[in-house]
Amino acid sequence: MLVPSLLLAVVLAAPEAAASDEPEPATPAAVDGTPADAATPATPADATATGAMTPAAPVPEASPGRKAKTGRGLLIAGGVLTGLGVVGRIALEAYWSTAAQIVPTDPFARWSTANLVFVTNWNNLMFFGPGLGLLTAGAYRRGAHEASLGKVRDAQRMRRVGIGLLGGGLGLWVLSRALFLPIAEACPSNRCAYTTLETTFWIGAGAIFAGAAHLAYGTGYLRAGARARVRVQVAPSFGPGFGGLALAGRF
Amino acid sequence: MHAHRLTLAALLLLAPACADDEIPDDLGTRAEDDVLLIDSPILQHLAATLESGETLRVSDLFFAERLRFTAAPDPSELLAAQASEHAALPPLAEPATLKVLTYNTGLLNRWYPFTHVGVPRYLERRAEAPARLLADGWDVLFLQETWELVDVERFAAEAKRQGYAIYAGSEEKHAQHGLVILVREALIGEAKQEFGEEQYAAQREIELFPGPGIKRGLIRWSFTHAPTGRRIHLYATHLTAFPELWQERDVQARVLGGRAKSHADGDVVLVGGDFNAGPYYPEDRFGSTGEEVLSGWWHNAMMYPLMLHYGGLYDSRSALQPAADVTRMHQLLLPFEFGPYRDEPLAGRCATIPADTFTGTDCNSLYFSQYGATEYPARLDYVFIRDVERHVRVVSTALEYTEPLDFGAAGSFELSDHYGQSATLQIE
Repeated sequence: MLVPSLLLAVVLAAPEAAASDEPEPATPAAVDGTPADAATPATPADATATGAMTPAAPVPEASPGRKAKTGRGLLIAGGVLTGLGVVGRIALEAYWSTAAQIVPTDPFARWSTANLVFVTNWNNLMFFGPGLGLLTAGAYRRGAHEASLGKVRDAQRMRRVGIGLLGGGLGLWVLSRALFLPIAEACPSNRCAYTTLETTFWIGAGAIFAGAAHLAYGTGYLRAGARARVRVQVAPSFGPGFGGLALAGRF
Repeated sequence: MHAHRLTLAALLLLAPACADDEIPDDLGTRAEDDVLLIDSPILQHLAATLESGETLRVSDLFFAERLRFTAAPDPSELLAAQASEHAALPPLAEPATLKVLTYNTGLLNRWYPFTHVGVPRYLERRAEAPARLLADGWDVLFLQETWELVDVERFAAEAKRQGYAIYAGSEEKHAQHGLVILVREALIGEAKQEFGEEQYAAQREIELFPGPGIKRGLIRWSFTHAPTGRRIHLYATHLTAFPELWQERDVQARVLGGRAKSHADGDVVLVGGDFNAGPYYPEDRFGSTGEEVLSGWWHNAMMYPLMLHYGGLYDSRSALQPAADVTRMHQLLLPFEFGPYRDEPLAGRCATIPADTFTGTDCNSLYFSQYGATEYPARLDYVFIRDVERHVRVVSTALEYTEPLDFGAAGSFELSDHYGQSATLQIE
């Protein structure tokens, strides 16, 4: 249950964290190499409209000297940790099928449940959980970043797909763990019990990771777009023969 | 300072949870605890080899800091006394024969985090063991290390075919203690049978989790012997292994002894099992994995007399003639040298040391492949008898299943990494 908890924590915490890190726009920035005008967004469509293909209002990227938060670092770190988790899990499966000398045709031995919980969750806590958190945060930032670049994404659809995958993955994971003992005892053999354990793990984990990434990306994308639309900029403006404050924004 | 106090408070709070169970909670409550070692014929040889042994009581034996062995505790007189006492008994008028076997089947094949623990050739041996053991005419079998329920089911199926009743404890606990008792059905009278199962408080906790799911215990089966009408109580056990864990083992022996002693004097109690300690170790240092030589073996010599003391038992192996533990131990190459013991079982002396005493020995190929050169050979498996009113005579004892068997393509090896210990009894 720790992975879902971590995920939830990340999903809830990430928007605020990202928002606080968001660079204050000062000057118009280039979008995909094309000069952009912050006051004239590419499309004025309502970003929250269901199913709408909604390129977010391009958001000025960053102040000079501040690095844009693209999420790349988080995604790489999350990918590395998740990769280690995958390797660890495959190594565990290799251990079960070789060195552990589990007799495939024997019935599942209930005494091994505690060790199963221990070794599988150890890997989850060490690698998959943190990896999922980092990937989710990275996807959120990526979504926000790509919104700032004006890339066109169906963010609402991504969120819906994400929620579906995440819910399905978590549901499968929780249910298959909660019901593992009855399932294993109904199984005629270790082969059946361990195959069930691992199949539900990989399907569940795959859905959880994909769902969390979709949801986080879509959420980051939409929130960045929404911020851009309500942003008002006030800046001192001086020129030959005039001086004062310039007010720019969307109203 | 505040942090220091917090740490102390946390330690005090955690201490009870971490406290070991090596000192029995009820130590001092039994009359046997208070006996001076020098006053007991069973324990005198311990007193003779302990610093201040003349002042020590049995309860002191559970405190490591009170024990300073100055020499090997030699049980020769104790072994001889059991033989002479038994020889003095008059013959029984109309006895029935009871053939008893205790056997560690070594059916261990378990995993725990990134480790496997097992006795080699598990699959071949488990296929062979039930039919072979139950076809050999034993009336009572005490089995240890029959860990898996699937193996118990194999024994149960064979027992049904061969006319045995079987008891292996509860499903949940069986997988932790691995004990089985089988009794020939024809010997079980009409009177109510009783069954019991208990796990010792003193444990090496790590064996349970994250170890291979082991928690030592005992099982009991009480029935009325149909041919004689005698009430018989059977106890099977498997005490904690490893020489350095003598304290757990001694506490377990105290518990088991107490259970054996709890029955009516007219009843017969048979205790069979793997007790994981021998009566005699000539030198305190023996065995190595290639680095330090293991020491502390003399402490392991306490289990045997403690079992006799607390249970009011005698050792069937030493009933007809003194068991040969001392003689056989002195046939070993001593002092221990790693090289010779690593290169050949018992440093090449298996041919000259008869297979009549040590039930756990490097002369057994399965034992050698697991423990070669790391442990003393020893008499680990016993059939103890409590018979206050002298209704039992030991007719013969022997080591069983000592020879390698032909397992076809798998090769030739023993049925288990232990040898069996049998006792043929007469009972009235």
